[in-house]
Amino acid sequence: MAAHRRKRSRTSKIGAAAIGTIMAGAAAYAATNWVVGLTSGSNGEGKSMAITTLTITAVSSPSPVNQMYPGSDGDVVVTITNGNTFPVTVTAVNLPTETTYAAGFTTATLATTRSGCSSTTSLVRWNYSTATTGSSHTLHAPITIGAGSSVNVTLTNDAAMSTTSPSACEDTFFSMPSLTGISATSANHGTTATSGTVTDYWSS
Amino acid sequence: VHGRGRALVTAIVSGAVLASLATTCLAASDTWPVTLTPGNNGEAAAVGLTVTGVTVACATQAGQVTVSWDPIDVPAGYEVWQETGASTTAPYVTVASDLATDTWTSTALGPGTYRFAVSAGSWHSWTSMLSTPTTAVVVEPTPPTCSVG
Repeated sequence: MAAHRRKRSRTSKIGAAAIGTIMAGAAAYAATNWVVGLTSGSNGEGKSMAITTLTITAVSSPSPVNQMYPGSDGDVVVTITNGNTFPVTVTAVNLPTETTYAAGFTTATLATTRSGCSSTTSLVRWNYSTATTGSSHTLHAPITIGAGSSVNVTLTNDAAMSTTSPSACEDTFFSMPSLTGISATSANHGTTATSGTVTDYWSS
Repeated sequence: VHGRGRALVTAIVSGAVLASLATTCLAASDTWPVTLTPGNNGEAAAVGLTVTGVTVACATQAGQVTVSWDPIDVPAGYEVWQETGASTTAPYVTVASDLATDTWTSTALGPGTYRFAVSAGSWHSWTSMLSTPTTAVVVEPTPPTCSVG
């Protein structure tokens, strides 16, 4: 009789745990399934987490170590800002086409355009871009950005200058073409957020 | 009955916590493509060809001078320019071009005062401005002697 009661009690606990699991799973799904403010083209709906507020901006500091000349590659400096309320890990970027060019400026603040070195004449593009817009390029090392934080990233040799770029582009700063997208995940448990300035790249 | 109820509540809460953790960890593994609006970009820079560190010295051979400069860090050829005369406004003329080295020695110069400057030309028609001129070098006629400054 006592053994029967113990068995029934154990069965009840297992059943209750199962109910709890189902309830919590449903609640968690409901709580994380908000897809807020994704711009058209994002296809995240139906998954359990939405990463919406990530921006990548051009910055003049730190200065690019590798500067371009005709036929060479150079560094690109960006700031990635995570406006989400949770850490995010950026794993890849999406590039515009290989015929989308950077615009030249006379100063690092990108305030005054360089005559003769525009986005139609500079022939400066993202390295490894292709004829297809939105091609994805995996970062050598994923970058984790804390909630509401920013990270400066030097993308080593991820800009390319054509062998026929005009001499007007000499001694010039470039506003690179807009990236079309990025791939990101919510950061895994225990992942340390990157801080300060980091170096990264894609190489294919 | 009271004990069984407490056990039931404990089991439900435990299950909920475990499931919550599992759900969050699973969510963390999802990769999201995020479309960026125009303006999300970066900044790069192109070199400015500038030749610095140009100096002149008297060479071992009478009447000859050696011009040296700091190499620039891109593939380039160099041109040496010479100005003749006491004035600093006389035009510079090219006396050597397509040099792959960072030094050049003249032939024997006639008597006079000379200044030199250097420019760099990279591939595909990129060129630098003339460097800051060297100090003057004076070549005396008999016997040919050279002095700088």
